[in-house]
Amino acid sequence: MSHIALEEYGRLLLLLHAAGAIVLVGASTHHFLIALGYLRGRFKVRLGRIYAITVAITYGVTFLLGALVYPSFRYLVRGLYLDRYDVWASNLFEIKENLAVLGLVTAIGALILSRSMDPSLDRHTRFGYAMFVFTQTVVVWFNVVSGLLITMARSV
Amino acid sequence: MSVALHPERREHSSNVPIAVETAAMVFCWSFSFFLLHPVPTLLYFPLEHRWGFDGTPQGLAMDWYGRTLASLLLSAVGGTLAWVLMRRRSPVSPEIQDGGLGATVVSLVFVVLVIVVTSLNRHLVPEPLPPWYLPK
Repeated sequence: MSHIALEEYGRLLLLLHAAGAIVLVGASTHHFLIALGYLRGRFKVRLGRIYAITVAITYGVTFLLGALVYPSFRYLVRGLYLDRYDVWASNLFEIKENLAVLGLVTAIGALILSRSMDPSLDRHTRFGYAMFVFTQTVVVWFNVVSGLLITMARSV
Repeated sequence: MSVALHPERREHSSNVPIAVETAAMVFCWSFSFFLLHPVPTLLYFPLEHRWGFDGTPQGLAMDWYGRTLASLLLSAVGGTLAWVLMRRRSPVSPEIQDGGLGATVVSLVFVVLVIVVTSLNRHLVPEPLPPWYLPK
């Protein structure tokens, strides 16, 4: 057998990563609806801030778990299998891992804006906040669906 | 329950969006740069359990950690600089705010396109199969 860092915990880490993603997709979608409300003149500011921090923390934890399981995945799944037999899944994973970083940045951006703006007064900030939330939610949904498809092909 | 910001805090944070947008744009452009140009970056060698800056790595090497770390650091530096420069100034004009928002949208679209295009145009080299490996 190979000896990759945290290889023996690969499945546990992946399970926790998936659990984080489940929470994240729910929180992100609710956050998306709150931000959509801001654009329509419905300002649930307190709820928006709660979802912003929930998403940021959950995203950070899920991201970290993914980063921990990545070396095992890179060699055992992608290196030995996907790059040889399921190239589409390998490419999809490459897109997923890079978009995940973009999602992290937009989650942090939305968190900072949610704490510093008054959406009923700051028209510009309201649009910027909505842009970050929309981007982050799209990334989360894309990554969740991609992750499911990839693990159907091969997993740690 | 009212959650409106105190006027002083609101004035103090009026240019926060510019700083956040600057950070996002710096991330988008630096991440795109690292994807498009094979500059030496921090690499992780999972089979050797080591980190390194090897320009032309031999064997399995992962550049995602280095690319991510470098882009996030640059983004944080860019955002902090923008915040330091803008925090004592009066709020920027709506035209500049709209320009910043538009530039951020363009940057986000650009980095997504770069991610997709570079991911689909890789030259895949599967790892040699070890003797113990049994494909399912």
